[in-house]
Amino acid sequence: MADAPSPSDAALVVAVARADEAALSTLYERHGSAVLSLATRLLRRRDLAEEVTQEIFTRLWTRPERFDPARGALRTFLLSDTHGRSVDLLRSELARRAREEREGRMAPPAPRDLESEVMTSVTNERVRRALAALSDGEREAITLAYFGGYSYREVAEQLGAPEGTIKSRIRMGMQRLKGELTAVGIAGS
Amino acid sequence: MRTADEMQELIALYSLDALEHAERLEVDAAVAADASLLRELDEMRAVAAALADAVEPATDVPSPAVWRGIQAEIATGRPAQPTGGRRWGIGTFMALAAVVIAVALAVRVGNLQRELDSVELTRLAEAKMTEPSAFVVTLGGGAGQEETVVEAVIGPDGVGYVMAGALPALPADRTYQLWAIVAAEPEPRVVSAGVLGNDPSVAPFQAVGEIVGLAITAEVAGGVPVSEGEPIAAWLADA
Repeated sequence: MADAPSPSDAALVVAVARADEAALSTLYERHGSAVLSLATRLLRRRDLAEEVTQEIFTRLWTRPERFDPARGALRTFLLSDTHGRSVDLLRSELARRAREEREGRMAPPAPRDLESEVMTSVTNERVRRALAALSDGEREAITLAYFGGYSYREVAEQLGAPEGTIKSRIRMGMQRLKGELTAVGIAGS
Repeated sequence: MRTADEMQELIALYSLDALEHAERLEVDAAVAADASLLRELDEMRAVAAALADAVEPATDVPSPAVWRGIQAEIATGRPAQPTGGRRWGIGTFMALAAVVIAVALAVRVGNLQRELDSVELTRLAEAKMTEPSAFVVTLGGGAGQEETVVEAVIGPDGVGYVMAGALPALPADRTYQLWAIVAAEPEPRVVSAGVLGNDPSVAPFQAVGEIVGLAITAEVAGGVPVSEGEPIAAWLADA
């Protein structure tokens, strides 16, 4: 007799809503590493990233109704949540650093070449091709915003470009990525 | 007032968490009022998540302390359970219609339906009906309404199908919504089992726990977490 298929993420969230800890554990095993990895990439601190991971899954337990399967995959939901929470922490950390720099207590951090960093770490060939198909300006703005956790205003400041230009590059780039990734079944409905 | 083009731009930025707080609130309000903008946001978020998923993991698995921390947190913070409501016993679905359906947790499983076309769903439903441990129930309409009869089959794994083809089509801004009444102490709970669309045929649902009733209501498109509408068709198990 064949093994029973694994329950879907949506079914497990229903079980989580019924206070089923085993279901939460299964979801954690499926997605915990991805959540931690994204948080680590943004925060660059393992301890903070683990705190975010704990928070994300605890919130899934206390507020399972926040996930609506009609709006997308659970992994997308968790990663969006992780990104948002990490960016909040990052911005408060950056604000603290800025204050300390102004007070002369800390040297400014060395600039990161995020675009190269991201491009060399992309393991999915289709995503790499989609990113490579963007203009340099689009790719740079998107990687700084998403993996650097910067607002578009901060991206504009870093790149010395008008805010309107950065907004436009991000929008065009995301639209193009959507088209490319939807066509190969990686994103989209 | 933003133009549609400007709002699309903000949505792309929102999906990357690249907006300032005030602009985020603006997008929140816009997507709450416009389903097409919400869909655009969801698609953009899927793109962003695909980027995150495509890069080499920045770290390995979480340390055991993370799961221990989650366990400690959830031990003190269980999901809210429904309160109040009536005790479901032997009764008719009209009794169901008389109460406000209290739903504490509405988890939609409508994505299952999108993944499978109607023919495939019909085949799966028919296969489920042949399973010895599955049971078939009939949801009937109430007095004062034109009789509506809908069959549903529920397997022991909680996977069920509702054959909703007999339901008349609703306007595009409305949807049928399925509710499961699940055995619980001290009282059964009513939970959303998914939106069926405005012109459903065969729809799957997943339930957890012992189902003691099913009901279908007509709601606004997208469904509601709490229904105040009268069931169009319902079934309640004998006590």
